[in-house]
Amino acid sequence: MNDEPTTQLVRTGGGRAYHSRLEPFVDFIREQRQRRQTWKEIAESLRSEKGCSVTLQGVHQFYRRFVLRSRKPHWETQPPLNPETADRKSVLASTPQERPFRRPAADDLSLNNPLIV
Amino acid sequence: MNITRRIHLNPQSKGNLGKSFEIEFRTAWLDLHGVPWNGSDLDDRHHTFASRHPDAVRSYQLGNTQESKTALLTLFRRVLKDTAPVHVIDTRAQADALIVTALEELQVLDICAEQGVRLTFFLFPTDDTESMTNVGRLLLYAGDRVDYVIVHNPAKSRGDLFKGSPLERQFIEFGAKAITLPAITPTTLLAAEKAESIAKRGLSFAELSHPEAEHLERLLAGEIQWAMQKMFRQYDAIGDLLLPTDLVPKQSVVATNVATLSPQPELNFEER
Repeated sequence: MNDEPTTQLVRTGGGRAYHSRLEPFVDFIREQRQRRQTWKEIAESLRSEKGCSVTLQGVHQFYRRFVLRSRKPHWETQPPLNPETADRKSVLASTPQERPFRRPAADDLSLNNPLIV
Repeated sequence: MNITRRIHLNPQSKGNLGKSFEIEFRTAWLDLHGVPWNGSDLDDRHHTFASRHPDAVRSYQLGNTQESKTALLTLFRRVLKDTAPVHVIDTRAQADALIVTALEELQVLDICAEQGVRLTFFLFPTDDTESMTNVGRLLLYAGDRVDYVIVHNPAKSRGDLFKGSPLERQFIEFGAKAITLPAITPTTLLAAEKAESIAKRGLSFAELSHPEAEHLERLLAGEIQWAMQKMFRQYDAIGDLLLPTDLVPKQSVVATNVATLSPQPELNFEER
């Protein structure tokens, strides 16, 4: 047990970006999956062929996160912003302003029925 | 709102309602009161209005939807730059949808309101259900952003669909006022056409009303004079819907509304 009082961590953002050591082997893992290899077999292949020791759960969870993340645009995969366009202030388009005015209800615009005498 | 200028528009789909006929009396009334006006003729088939007032009225070709928007854009740009207190627009039949579309897409009503310009719609009750439905749509579109004058033309329509209907009540609620066109004999109208043919130009009703100009026989010119007088009284009564605020004659403040029409000798007894 740690008896020292817990200190509130202050989120500062930034810091070095985390990268999984499996990232260089993404293509290898995909290829193995397309060959219908199990996660256990892939983990063994990674250890024997690539020298990367990892459990089958580790490979599975990494690859699942990778697939989910690749569905959405991510800042890490975006091309760097052009500084000129990044600093430009865009002018927002103007659309017609809603000006309230009085109008009748559509149901109140009926005509006489000539068939009724 | 202080109205500095007025635009008169008759945006109705059906033809042969007496729209150009009514305009002749209205412009004569403006001239009588010394109100400077100019106009636009959107009736690209007849150009009656422009031919009768070549110095004051400019002709436009409405064409198809896209062309009509261009024509109306040009027209309203000119009108908004103009200084004449009244601008009278005569439209052709089947143009209501084109006009309403252009009014909406060019935001004409809002821009006019910003500049103290107010539109007056002249609407002609008919016995045609589709045409009257379009009239209802115009009220629904414009609401209280424009003024309305209901022009009854007993020679063309009995108005059975409209008179006493919920639509008429809504127009009254939105400040509409009514006038009734006089019935002029076919003899006089034919003689007027013949006079235009002889003169090789359009003749305004004001010109035709002068017997000394010898466009019409004395008796026929007299009928035009009678019709003028009948219409002038009605325009006097609704002057606040026809003129900018500063030009409204004092007596027109006490105006009739749709429901309280003056007697109309051309109608049968018990007809309103």
